[in-house]
Amino acid sequence: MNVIIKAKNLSKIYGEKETSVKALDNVDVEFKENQFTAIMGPSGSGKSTLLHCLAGLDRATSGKILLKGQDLSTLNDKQLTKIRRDSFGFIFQAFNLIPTLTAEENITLPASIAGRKPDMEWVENVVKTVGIDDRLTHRPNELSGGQQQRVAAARAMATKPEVIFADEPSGNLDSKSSRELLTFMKSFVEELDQTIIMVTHDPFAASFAGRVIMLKDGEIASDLDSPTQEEIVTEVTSLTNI
Amino acid sequence: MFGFTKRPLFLIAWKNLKTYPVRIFLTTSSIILGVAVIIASNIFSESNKSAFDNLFTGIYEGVDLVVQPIQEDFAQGFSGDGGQGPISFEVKKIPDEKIQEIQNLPSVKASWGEVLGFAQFIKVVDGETILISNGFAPTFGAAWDDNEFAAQWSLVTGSRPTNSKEVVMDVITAEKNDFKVGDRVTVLAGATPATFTIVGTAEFGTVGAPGGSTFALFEFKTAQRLLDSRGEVNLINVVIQDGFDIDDVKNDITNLDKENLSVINAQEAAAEQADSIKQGLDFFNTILNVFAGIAIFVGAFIIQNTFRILLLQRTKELSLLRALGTSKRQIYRLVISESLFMSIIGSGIGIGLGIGLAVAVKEGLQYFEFGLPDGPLVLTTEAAITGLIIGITVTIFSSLLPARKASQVSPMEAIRDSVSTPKRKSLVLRLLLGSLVSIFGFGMLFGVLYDFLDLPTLSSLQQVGFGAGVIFIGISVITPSITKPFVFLFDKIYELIFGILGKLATENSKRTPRRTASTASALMIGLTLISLANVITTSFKAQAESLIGEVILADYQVGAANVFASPGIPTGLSEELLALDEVTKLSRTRATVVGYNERPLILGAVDLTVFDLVKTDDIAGSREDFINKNAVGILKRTAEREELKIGDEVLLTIPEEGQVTFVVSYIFDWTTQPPAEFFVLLENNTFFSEESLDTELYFNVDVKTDELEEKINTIVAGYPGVEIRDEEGLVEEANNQIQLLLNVIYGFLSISVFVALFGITNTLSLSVFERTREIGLMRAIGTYRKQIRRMIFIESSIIAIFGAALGTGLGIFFAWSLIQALADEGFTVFAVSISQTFMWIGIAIIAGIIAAILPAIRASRQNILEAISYE
Repeated sequence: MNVIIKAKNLSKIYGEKETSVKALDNVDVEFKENQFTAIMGPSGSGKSTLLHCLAGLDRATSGKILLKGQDLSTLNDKQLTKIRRDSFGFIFQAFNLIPTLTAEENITLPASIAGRKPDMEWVENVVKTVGIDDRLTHRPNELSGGQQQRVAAARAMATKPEVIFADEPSGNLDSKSSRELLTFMKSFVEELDQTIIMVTHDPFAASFAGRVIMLKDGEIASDLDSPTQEEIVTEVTSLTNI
Repeated sequence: MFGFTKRPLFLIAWKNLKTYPVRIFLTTSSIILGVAVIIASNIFSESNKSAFDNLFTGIYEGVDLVVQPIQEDFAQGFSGDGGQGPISFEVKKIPDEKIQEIQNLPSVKASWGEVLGFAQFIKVVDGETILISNGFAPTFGAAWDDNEFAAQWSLVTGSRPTNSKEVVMDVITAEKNDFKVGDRVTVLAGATPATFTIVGTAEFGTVGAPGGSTFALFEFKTAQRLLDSRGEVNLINVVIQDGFDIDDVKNDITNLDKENLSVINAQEAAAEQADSIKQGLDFFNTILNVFAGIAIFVGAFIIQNTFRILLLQRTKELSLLRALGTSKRQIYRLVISESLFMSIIGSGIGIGLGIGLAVAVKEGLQYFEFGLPDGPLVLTTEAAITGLIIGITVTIFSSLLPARKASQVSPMEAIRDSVSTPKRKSLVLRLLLGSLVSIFGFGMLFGVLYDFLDLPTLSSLQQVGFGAGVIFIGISVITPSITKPFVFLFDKIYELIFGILGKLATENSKRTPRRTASTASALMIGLTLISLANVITTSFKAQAESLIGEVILADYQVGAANVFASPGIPTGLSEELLALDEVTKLSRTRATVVGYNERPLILGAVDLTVFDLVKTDDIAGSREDFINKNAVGILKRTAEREELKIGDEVLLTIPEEGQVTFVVSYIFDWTTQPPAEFFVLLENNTFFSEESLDTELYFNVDVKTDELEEKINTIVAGYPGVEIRDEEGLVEEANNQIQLLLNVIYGFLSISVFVALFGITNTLSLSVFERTREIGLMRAIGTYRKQIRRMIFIESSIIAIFGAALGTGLGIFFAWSLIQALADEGFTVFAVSISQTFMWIGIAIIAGIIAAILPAIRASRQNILEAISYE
């Protein structure tokens, strides 16, 4: 499998001299195509910062982000915005949808912004996969939390992005909706050949991923291949206890 | 150390304002503007009043008494000509001998006469004759006061006029038109122009020339000859001998000729002259105040809106106060005290800005050499207090509703995470209430137009105006309810043009219909008034056009180029024109002021041919009888007013003729602006046929050719101050006057549009603030900054179009109703200028987009991470 996105010597420092905090400390990490990766770590470990930097939402203090060899750190806001629109998909914890647009309009929003006609066959396929085909004309406030996140997942998929970034996608959901959403996400990777990088603090959510990276104090503490939920819990506990 | 305050909420209110000065500016921007206009207009008029007082007191310095002729009763207080053409109001003057008689009194040290009349400077540039004047300001001719006590005019350069070929020019006119001592200048005074040598320039008091007028100063006898005052003066100035009592001297002079002379103190005369000018300025002041009122009215809408916006942004803070145990009442008082502070500061700034504005206006007028007297700017305490009270009252009243709403905030809001969306109250009640009010208004308006409802205490025009006002209020109440349907009209079009951004923008406008509506309302007010003015004037223009074509049967009309400045048309012109073979028919009109029933009234003299050249309608009597020697024709409306009918005798007091009895023989309707109310035949009355000036000429030619036109123009060119117009020219002239008026109104109404811009800016700022997360999300998933800005601009254009469309619609409708109500007065044409209507809608949209610049930039710079982070 090819590497699709990687970080080289990535550092992110907040604040000035004495009060500065190192959120990321010389992180080197690669992500392969068609893989579901979870990034875990305690609060303040830098997991969200890493995701934001990779996704072009935030700028690192030093180091490089290479998307298929292209260095994102050299791009200006307009170029970055275009990459986010065309090459990335996003699922956030909450407030994923524009309240004034219907589910369908939300799903096709990135394409609409780009002024393109979405690939309807693909979109229908995605919509069917997440099971919201009967909810397309509803507005977000007429949908349950789980349905809203599934619409967000469909939106992230709709442009056939290179990478989907998910930031605590199941953080606000009950366990049943949570399981459903993560199952869909896993099927995106396994059946629809997508690449997902997800930040979570929930071992249950992480157990859906094929690879789990643990961060602590801005550094990568461990990198697990297809761990079970128990293995993850053990690792998290050991990291927190030190 | 802990401080303790008995009034914690007052303290919080004050701290809030100290921390967020921008809030004060946003909220009070409209009140600042309104107060500034009030203050500026007050300062302007007060300063000028005091300056004119000083000026006239200065002019009469050294003069103790002023002797005036006693005018005949009917001419007392007569002003305004009521017809066309210049008419001398000073019916009586004082004979020269009186100056000497007064001088001979032992109690009089000095006396000298003053002569004043019309005299027009003329210059020729590139072969074209140009009348020198400043707009509507009069062009005066006067006698140079040789007396050593005379202080009105003082020489700036050169010397005084000593013979009939010399003139002194006021220094402003000389400087503006590049005249120097030694130059020759043509002056039109009386019937024929003559050329004089400029021997000096002079200034009046310290202002050059008062009120923008021009002055030609002649040697005394020359002035009398030119200004139609042979052997007479307008008034006599008197300086009394030391040691005499002023009242005794007054009696001495009065006793010389009790019937014809009135003597007043010079200071009274100064006050009188200053007063007449001040009255003119008062009118200007009133207009300014009306527009300031409109600005403040619009401002009240905006303050209310801004308050609501700011309080919504502070929901968390207020609910925290509630959670800590602050009562609703206290929150209410907190908000009110904030608005009190703001209003005081805002009104204060407004007063400051007003002073600046007054200085600017004064400088501006000075720049155009309007000839206002110099003097310090006067800010009266009353004006400052009025400004302060208006500013504070309007601000506090506008904050009452938002404050009540803010006090309803739940203590739970503080704990909740998301930005709260206000609960939506039903708009149905609003729709019902607004519709009821509107229907009532429509009832009043249509009731009087279609004669099914007449309110006894109101004139029909008042009832229409009142109805329109009620409709306006009703529509304002309804607007939030119709926001959604209105925006719905845009949905598809906007989506088609702007794609998803158009859709997002329209949806946002629908999300908060109340806010969209109240923002649009502010713009609506201005646009209503603008389109009202636009349609009324366009209709008047169309009316004038159709009327002129219909009622002027003559090919050409000749009149004074500037009725305020030139004395009329020398009779030589009509003789020259009649001498042309091609001129088939010509009628002359002359006019004078006569007394009837102890009131002044204009008596016109016409040739019989006038009835063929100007359309008149016979009402009673006949033209055959009008030819009779003692016949008088009267206008229909005068006949109705004076209750005169055919055969009645009327007794007219004619200057220099005495009382003459006429018989009403012809009642008719003059379909244009009539030149007089009573008419006689010119040839029957020597006092008219001996006059040297016509007020109007109408004539027909056999065939209109370029060659003939050339010939006529050459003849007319020999009479400066006279203008010839064919039908097109008449229409054009009427239109120009109307357009000038309209432009002034537009200028003032633009202020209200300007104020409304602040409202749009505030509303959009809030809208952006509320959508922090939404905009952050859009940026995250790949929306360009440019696209975010565009979205805000589109949203703004919707508000602007909404306000502009409503305003324009209402304005056109009100204009239509007004014209219907005026139908009895002869207004029948209703015309809308499509181009100007769209121009103003366009301006409103552009204004809306300008107002959106700041919020759009703020939205596009929104930090994405802040918007989407939850940690």
